[in-house]
Amino acid sequence: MSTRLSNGGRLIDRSQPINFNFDGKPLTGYKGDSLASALLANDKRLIGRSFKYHRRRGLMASGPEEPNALITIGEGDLLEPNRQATMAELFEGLKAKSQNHFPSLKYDFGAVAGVMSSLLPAGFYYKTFIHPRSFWKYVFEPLIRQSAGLGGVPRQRDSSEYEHFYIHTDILVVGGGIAGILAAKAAANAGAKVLIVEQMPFWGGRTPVDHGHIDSISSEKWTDEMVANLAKDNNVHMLIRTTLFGIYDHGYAMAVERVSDHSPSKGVLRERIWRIRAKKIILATGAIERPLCFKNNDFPGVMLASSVRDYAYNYAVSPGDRTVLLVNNDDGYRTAIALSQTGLEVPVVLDMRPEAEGDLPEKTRSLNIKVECGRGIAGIKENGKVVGVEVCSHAGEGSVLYEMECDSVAVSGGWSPAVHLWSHCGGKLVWDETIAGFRPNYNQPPIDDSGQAIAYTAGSASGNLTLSKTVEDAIKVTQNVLKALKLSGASPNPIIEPESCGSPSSSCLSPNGIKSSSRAKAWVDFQNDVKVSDLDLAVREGYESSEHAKRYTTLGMATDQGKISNINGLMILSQILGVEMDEIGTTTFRPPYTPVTLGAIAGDARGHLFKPVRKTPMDEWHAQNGAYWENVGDWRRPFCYLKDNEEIKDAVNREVLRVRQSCGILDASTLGKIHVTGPDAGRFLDMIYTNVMSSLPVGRCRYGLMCNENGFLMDDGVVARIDECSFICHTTTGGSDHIHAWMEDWLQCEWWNWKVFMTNLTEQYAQIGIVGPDSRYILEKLSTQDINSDQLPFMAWGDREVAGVKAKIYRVSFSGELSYEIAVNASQGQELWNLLIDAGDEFQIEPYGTEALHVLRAEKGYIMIGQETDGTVTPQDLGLSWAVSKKKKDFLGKRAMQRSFLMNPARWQFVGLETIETQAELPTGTHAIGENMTSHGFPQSIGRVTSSYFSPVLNRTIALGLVERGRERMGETIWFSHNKERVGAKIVSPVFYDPEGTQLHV
Amino acid sequence: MSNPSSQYKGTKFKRLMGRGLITIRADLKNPKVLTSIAKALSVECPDIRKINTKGDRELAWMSTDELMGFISKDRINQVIEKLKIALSGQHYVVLDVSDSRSEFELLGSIRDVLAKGTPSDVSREGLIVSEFRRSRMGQIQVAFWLRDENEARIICRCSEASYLENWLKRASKSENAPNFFHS
Repeated sequence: MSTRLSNGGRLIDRSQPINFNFDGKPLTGYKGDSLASALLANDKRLIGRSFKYHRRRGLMASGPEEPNALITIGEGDLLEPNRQATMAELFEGLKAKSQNHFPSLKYDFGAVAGVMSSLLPAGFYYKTFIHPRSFWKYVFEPLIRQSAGLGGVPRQRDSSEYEHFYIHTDILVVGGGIAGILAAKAAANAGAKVLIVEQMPFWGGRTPVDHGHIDSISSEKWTDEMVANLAKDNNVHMLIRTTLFGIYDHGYAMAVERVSDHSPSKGVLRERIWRIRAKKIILATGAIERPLCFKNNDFPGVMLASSVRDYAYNYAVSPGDRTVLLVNNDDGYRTAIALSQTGLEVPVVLDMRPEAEGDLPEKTRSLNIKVECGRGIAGIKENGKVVGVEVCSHAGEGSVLYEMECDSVAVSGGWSPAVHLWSHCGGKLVWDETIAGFRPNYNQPPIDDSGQAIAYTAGSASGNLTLSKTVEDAIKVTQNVLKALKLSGASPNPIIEPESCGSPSSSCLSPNGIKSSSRAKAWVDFQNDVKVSDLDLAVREGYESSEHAKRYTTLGMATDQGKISNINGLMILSQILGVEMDEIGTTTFRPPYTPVTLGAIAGDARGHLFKPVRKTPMDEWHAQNGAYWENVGDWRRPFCYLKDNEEIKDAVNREVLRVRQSCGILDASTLGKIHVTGPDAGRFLDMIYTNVMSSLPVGRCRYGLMCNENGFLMDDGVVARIDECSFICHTTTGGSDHIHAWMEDWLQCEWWNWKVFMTNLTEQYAQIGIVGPDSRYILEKLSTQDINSDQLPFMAWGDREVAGVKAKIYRVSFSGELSYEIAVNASQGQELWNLLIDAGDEFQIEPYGTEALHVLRAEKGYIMIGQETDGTVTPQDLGLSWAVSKKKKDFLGKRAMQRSFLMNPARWQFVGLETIETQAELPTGTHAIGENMTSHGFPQSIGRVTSSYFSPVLNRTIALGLVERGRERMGETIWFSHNKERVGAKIVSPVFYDPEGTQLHV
Repeated sequence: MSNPSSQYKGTKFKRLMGRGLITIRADLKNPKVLTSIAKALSVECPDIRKINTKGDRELAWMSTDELMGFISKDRINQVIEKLKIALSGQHYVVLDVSDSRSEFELLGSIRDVLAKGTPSDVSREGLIVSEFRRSRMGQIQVAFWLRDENEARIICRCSEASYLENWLKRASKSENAPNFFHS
């Protein structure tokens, strides 16, 4: 059994016991424990069920490489599934739940029935469950979804906070082990600004556990002193619990800091994403130990050798009383030495290699631990728990030589340099036989825009297996980095006793000739349940490239991204295919290195900060007066104003009628207002608009259209001439920014020598529409002078005072009624609005929203950008040829308008549509059906509805649309398909109301 | 390394009222133009990416042909008239844009707050006092500058002022201090 040792534990504080709960059971650990170490100390070796086959699983590792121990932590609004127990720190009251089992962790239906493995071989989704066809959707898929998987989705909204933080630094050091610490110190000595991040909650990496003395003090003490020293250095910022999860171009890197996961509470900042711009990045990311593949190697109690000594040394937890070791390299012997030093028994070290002559095997032998070379494990003996191993010869197929009793198995399949981040932005790898691993190709690093290396590896990430080489490399690499930054400074130079290290083997199969029945029980990828036999199958079926085999078997595709399994999978692939590892290569490493929560990615962009909402100067008044909001561009605008318990459609009808009968008031402040001035302003606008603007007299307004260079309509609005060389161009609400940018683009890139200045004055003015037959009386009541039709005719503007407030009054109309748009400085908008409402009281003035605005313009057949246009519609389609100059030599879109496609007389044209049945609905987007069929056997579409409303004035539905040759077909009835029914509609003029325009000119 | 005790305690912000803004666009390569602008505002014209401050008057570099003048609202018309007279005959534009922008004052651990919203470098070396930075804060366009080590000013569109206010409220909470710049 696993248990807490009576002595030791460098990370735990025995004076601070901590209560926590696992699957409803109260348990105790110590401050400093990880959830994993605390579970192990409580003899909880079975921690979860596997993804596909629901096999029993326990801890395999002690860090972020852990594939099995995925746990749900927290409850309610703090619940998070799929946390690694190895990365979760213990805190008082922690509630953890195991995942993926039914009905319980110990007795799982899927595993008991044993049905999963035969149904879900590699590539199962390509070939199992194909027939009968309907079964997939209704039977198989729901069944698999139910049984396969990870933790449940949280049911409540996450109450934690998240944020991003942007920093720039000279050097980013990733990894707080000895290499990272040395690199940071050396860089700081040279005056560089350094950020060093470490994913674990402690500094030092493996050194304190694995190595005895540095500078003739204990490695632990040495590390502590170095860290304390770094902490005092003003050039260095240190972050623990921070995982660098991605490196991108130009030294851009992202890290996630777990700010409060070790003591969570509601509403507290939980995670912070650091978005880092570094001049150079030093990757001291260490290496990751690989397991070995033998029969039932996934059984709880089988653990990575390095993790076994981590638990023993860091947390004083013994994984078992008798631990058998299976290794193919020298490093695994450290576990035998460490366990024997804590008084635990190591009956035998089985070394797959024919001989083991390095310092560590020698030291192991000197401690009277039996070492057997050329041996393997043929299988695990278990009775719910590990009770022994079957020892075989490594060379053969696995005939059992003898059985060895034990309750724990530690395995070491060698070390893979953690090259993930190196690879993220283009660093290349080579297979290094001397370390049996892929290491960075130092000649092909990730590079920046000048072709210089942007990232460097240091220490074991470079492929160094001994401490002396790791330290040497870290110092050398940091000096190279500093040189590249034209800095220099003294490196710390610790004294380390050199260690002789035998060559590791690059075989991960035990025994070497493992037979097929055992291959089907020998796990490669633990989290995704990929076995050696699955790789056999993939190769047999032709999925030979590493990328294909990965996708066919799902090797390395789980949340751990195959940190401990990928290289083993590739080695097996190389063995099956009989090709060199270099030829096999790796699959592609992509960010994120470890999973990142959606909350962290969203950062502060949630709740009321989800998206900025632009508000007009009168926004608060609208909110207080029943506004029912609509998003228009980035703005919020009242769709309508609801009175009492009014329905939306009733409010819209009321507002429309009020405008037609007396007067309405509209907040039009969101309209874009671009001030264009300069000697070339007229000439410039003549290029931008399809019609002529340079001829517009001062004091007059003209409706203008803008096309893109393809001749399609992109924006419209009223242009007013302010003085000889100045105009104000009104754009649509959604268009103010991009039209301004569009105009600047043309001015700066094409007509850069024209003398024009543009200023976006959209927000400088509050613009209020006062609309309806009584509007002039209201303005006159506010002693506004000179606004009758002689002084201020339709399509004129003038500087006036409204109740003493300086204003620009535009006599324009988007409703077909007498109407004035009054622009005042935004800070005076609310005051003027109030004055107008008060003055309009006797005329029953009412505010109206965007929907009434739409109905009013549709009754008049005025187009709306984004309704009648979708980027494929021309002014000519919309019957607006009158606003496209035939005289101008050039304007944006002119040339494109000559294309045969745009000249085609069969183009869809703008028309009004009256349903035969006056109250029938013809919603926007409905298609008109022709008599012909398409080549696919569908009825040909001959038009579509672009706008559709109920007109309270006409007491019927009205629609606008685009119909093939529409203008030739006035009076014709065409058919639309709506809700599987045919709706007939007559093609009519788009002007439904006041076609003579008498209302406009009163 | 930073001191873990929160230095955010003194961090606060408020929306300022009362300052007017003038957009000035003209040929800034012309020394005569620069002189007359400086004279009209009684502030020297700023170098590229800079802002010059004199009392409550400031003049900021917006682009190669654009400056932004900050001046109390009660003097703005007077200054605009002066500018118009001084620049007459040139190709220029001078506009009152006071109601287009909102100005915020941020006091305290300003760099730690700004770095939560802008990808630009706000370190002591990256953003010195007198630097005028056009960037973003969270999801909106802003410009910001430091008046001294403890005071930053931010301007944004008026329509987005309530977003910035909420954003600053969250970002300057003392319990969320990264203590990166202020140690």
